[in-house]
Amino acid sequence: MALIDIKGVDFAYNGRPVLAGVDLSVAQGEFLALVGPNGGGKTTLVKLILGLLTPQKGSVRVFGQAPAKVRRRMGYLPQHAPVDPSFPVSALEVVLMGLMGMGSGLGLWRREQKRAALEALDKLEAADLADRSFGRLSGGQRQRVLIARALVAGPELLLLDEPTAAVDPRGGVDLMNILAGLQPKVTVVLVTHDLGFVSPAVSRVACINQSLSIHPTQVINGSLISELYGAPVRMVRHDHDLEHGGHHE
Amino acid sequence: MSEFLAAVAGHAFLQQALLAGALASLACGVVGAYVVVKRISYIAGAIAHSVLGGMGLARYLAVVHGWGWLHPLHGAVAAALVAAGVIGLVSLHARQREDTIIGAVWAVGMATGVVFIALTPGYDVQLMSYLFGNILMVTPENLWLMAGLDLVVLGAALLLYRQLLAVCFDQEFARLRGLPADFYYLLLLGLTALTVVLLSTVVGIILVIALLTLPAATAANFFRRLGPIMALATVLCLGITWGGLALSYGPDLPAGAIIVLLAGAVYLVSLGLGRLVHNRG
Repeated sequence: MALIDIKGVDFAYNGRPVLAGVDLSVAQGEFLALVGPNGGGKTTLVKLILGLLTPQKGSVRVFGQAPAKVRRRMGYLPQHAPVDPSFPVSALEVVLMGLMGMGSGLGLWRREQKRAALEALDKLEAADLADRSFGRLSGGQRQRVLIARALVAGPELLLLDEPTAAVDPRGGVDLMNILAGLQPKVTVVLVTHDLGFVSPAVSRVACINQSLSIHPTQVINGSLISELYGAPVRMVRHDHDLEHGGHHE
Repeated sequence: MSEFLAAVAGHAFLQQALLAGALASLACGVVGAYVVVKRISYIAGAIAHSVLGGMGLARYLAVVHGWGWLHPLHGAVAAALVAAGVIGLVSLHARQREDTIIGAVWAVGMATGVVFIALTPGYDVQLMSYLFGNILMVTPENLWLMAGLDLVVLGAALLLYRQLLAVCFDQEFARLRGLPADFYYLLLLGLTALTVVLLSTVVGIILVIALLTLPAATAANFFRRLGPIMALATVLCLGITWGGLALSYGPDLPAGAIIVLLAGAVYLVSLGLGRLVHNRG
C-alpha cells in the first residue's frame, strides 16, 4: 500500500486552477522532491496531503485514510514560519511545541518531553542551540529547529516546504544529508523551487506546474528544466559534496 | 513617605487600596506578558474602553430600576467578556478588517456607557472614577470579587501555560498539532478581559492599557523567556502600583495617573538598562 495515494486531483482557488489531474503515489521510505516554479502548486499539494485543503475533484489518502485523521502521524515544516525576533522563547521550547496535542495535560513540560526535544535537535546537529533564543538564530539555524519541531513527535511522514529557502548552499547540502539520514524510517516529501538542493539522497523528483510529472533523479537536465519553468534556465552545479558522488548527470 | 506609612497604619481604606493593587498586579504581570508577546495590546485597549458600557448599564439598573445588588464591577466583567468574544470571533471567522472591528468595539462600548450614565440621576463624579480609577474607593466586597477574578485568571494562565505559549508563538502550527487553537485564543482574550477589569479598579479604564503592557514590556527588556518575564512584570506592577499610591498621597494627586506615569518612567529607564544587558543569549 502506498503511503500517500493521490488520484486525479483538481484544485482551484476561487475558480483559478492550481492543480489539474494530479496523480501521485509515494511509497514508505521514499525521499520525494517536489519541484516547480512559484505558484506552480507545490505548497497546495502539501496542504492537500496534510488535509488543510480538500480537492474539488479526485482523492487524497494518506496511510490509507483521510489526511486530516492521520495528521498527527505527519511532521510539517511550513513555508512561512513565525519570525518575530523578539518572541521570548528558546529553541528547545519551540521544538517542544511539536509535542502539543500528545496528551499534553497541564502545567510545565515534563522531563521525558525535554529529552525527546533534545534528541530531535541532536538529529539535526543542533543540540547546542537548545538554550538559545529562537528569534536570535540565523535563518539556517531556525530551519533546523523548526524541522526538529516537525520531527519530535516521531512522524512517519515528514513534509518540508522550502526547507532550504533561507539557508546558504553549504548549510543546504548539510541539511539534505541529515534528511537523507532519516531514511528509511521516515518518508520525506520535500518542496523546493531550488533544484540545486535536490541531492543524491532524493529518490524521485516530481515536477509540478499545475500538472505533475515524475522523474528519476538521473534525468534532470536542461531541457526538462526549461520545459518545467517555461524558459531556459542556467544550470549551476553544486559539487560541494563530492564524497557522496556529486550530482547525477 | 513616612507620612504615607503612618496613614496606611491608621486608615483601612489605604490598606484596602494597597491590597487591591496587589491583587491587580498578580494578573497584570502574567496576562500582560501574554498580551505583549502576542501583540494584542490594541485588543486589550478596546476591551478596556468598552467596559464603560457595562459599568454604565449596571449603575443605571442599580439606581433607576432598584437592582441594588448590582455593582458597576459586575457590569464591567460582563462587558469585557462580551467585547473579547466579539473581537475574537470576528478576527477568527469573519472576513472583516480586524482593526476596524477593534476600533468599533472600543467606541461603541464607550458610547453605550456615556448614554447610560446620562440617563442615571446622580453625580458625574462616578464617570470620572470609572474613566481614571479611584483605588481609594475600593470596598471589601470589591476585594473579594477581585480575588475571585485573580484565582480564575492565574489558574488558567499558569495551568495552560504551554498551550497559550504555543498559540501565541504559532497559532497555525498549534492547530495542526490538533490543539483547539481557536479556543485557546478566545480564552486568552477572556483572561485579558478579566485582567482589564481588575486593573480598571486601580487606574480606570482609560489608563488600563498602560499598566497592562508597560510592566511586561519593561520585563521583556531584561529576560528572553516568558516565565521570567511574567515574574518580573508581576513584581514591577506591584512596585509601581504601591509606589504610585504613595507618591500621590502627600500632594493629593490622582493615584491612577501617577501610577501610569511611574510605569512609563520605569519603562523608559529599562530601555537604557536593557541595552546594557542586551547581548545575552
